Amino acid sequence: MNGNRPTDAELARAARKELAALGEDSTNAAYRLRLVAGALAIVERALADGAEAAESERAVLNALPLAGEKDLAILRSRLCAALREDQLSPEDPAVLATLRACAEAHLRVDNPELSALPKVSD
Amino acid sequence: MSGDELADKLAAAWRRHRGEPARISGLKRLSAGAASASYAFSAVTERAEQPAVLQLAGAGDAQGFAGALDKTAQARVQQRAQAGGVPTPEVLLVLAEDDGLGAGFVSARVDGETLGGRIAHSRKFAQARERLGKQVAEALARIHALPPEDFAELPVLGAAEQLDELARLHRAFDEALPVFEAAIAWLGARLPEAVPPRLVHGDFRNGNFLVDPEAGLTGVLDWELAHRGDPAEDIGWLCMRSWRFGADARQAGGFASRTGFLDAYRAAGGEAMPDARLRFWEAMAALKWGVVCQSFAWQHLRGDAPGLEPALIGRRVSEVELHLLDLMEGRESA
Repeated sequence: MNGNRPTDAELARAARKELAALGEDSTNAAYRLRLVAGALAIVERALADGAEAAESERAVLNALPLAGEKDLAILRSRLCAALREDQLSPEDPAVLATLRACAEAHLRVDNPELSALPKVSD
Repeated sequence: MSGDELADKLAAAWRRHRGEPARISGLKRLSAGAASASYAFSAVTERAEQPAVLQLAGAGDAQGFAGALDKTAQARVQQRAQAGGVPTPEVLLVLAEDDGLGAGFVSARVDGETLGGRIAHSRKFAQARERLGKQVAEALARIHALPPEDFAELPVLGAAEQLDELARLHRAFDEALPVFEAAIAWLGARLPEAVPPRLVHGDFRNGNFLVDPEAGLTGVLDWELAHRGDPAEDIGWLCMRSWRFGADARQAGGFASRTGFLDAYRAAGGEAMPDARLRFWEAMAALKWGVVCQSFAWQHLRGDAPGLEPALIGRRVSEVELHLLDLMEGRESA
């Protein structure tokens, strides 16, 4: 699972409530149904690929000097603390490469088209 | 308040502030949110029919950032910007307490599209996009050239204070996002030298521009986040990736290249800015949008914003992570 909030379950719940609300009042129905479809697409990818994406994030985070840890939430908190306390630096290419691998794992679930976008410069 | 009651109070306010009677016709609600509500109408006087927009303060507290102006202060900024030659709708009246409508103002209604995705992509706006980079650059250079002493009531928000505020807001969510922490450290190591404060629009982006398919830019909207500070802040926000609406090769708002925009800004009298300063403000913009996405998600999770849309915006944090990394790694040339 992605770990960012709302979680996959929270998102599914919000989509369910939106559908229930649409049954009561159909104002802006087309737009709101597009939102529901978008939320379901995220949950669908999370069910299909989320575990693998989380595993790849866990693996790259465990390659940093953060000590072995299985819980992704704890790993992330440790990395945040290390960055805040200057033990790890955003100037370090290895840190940036790790962060990029994590961001790409999140995008596999949240927005796979974007992760495939070529990098653009002027 | 009923529509009739609103129209009656509006007619009385029009007479009081503009010194002539008017009939209010075609009153129609445009939007309603916690922060504000807006209405379109026409004021029909003996001389003319004036299309107008009423903006009222909302019932709830506006979410977001320190320094958001109330409607009265916002109207004053818009009024002075318009008088100073910035294309923005003329303010026709500012409501007073005895108008009985709360804080708000009425401005001229100017035709144009504001939906950023349409402006960035629709074939209908292809001609407008050709001109928009130059027009928007000229408008921004004009904003930044206005005498800052005319806006002395606005807060000065420098780079260091804004970064501290973003870090504080982000950490208050208690959601561990390592890329955001890395960006805070990266930005803290690159704070640009303080510059003499200029008027900064504060929300200068595709979505706050009125655009006509032929004429291009017809107005700059939404002065609610105006303050004094570094003019590079407005350029960073304009170029932030989400405001390109997917037209990523046109970094300035999805309608112009970054270099094309900067050339036009300088040609219109704007200051030449070092790349490092622009890159700093573009990364600040990305971090700010990331914190806004988080705040939508948390308003939803706390039950203050029950719809699906704020929840979905929360998951856009991943896009912001990628954009921040591209900026930190120099993959987005400024």
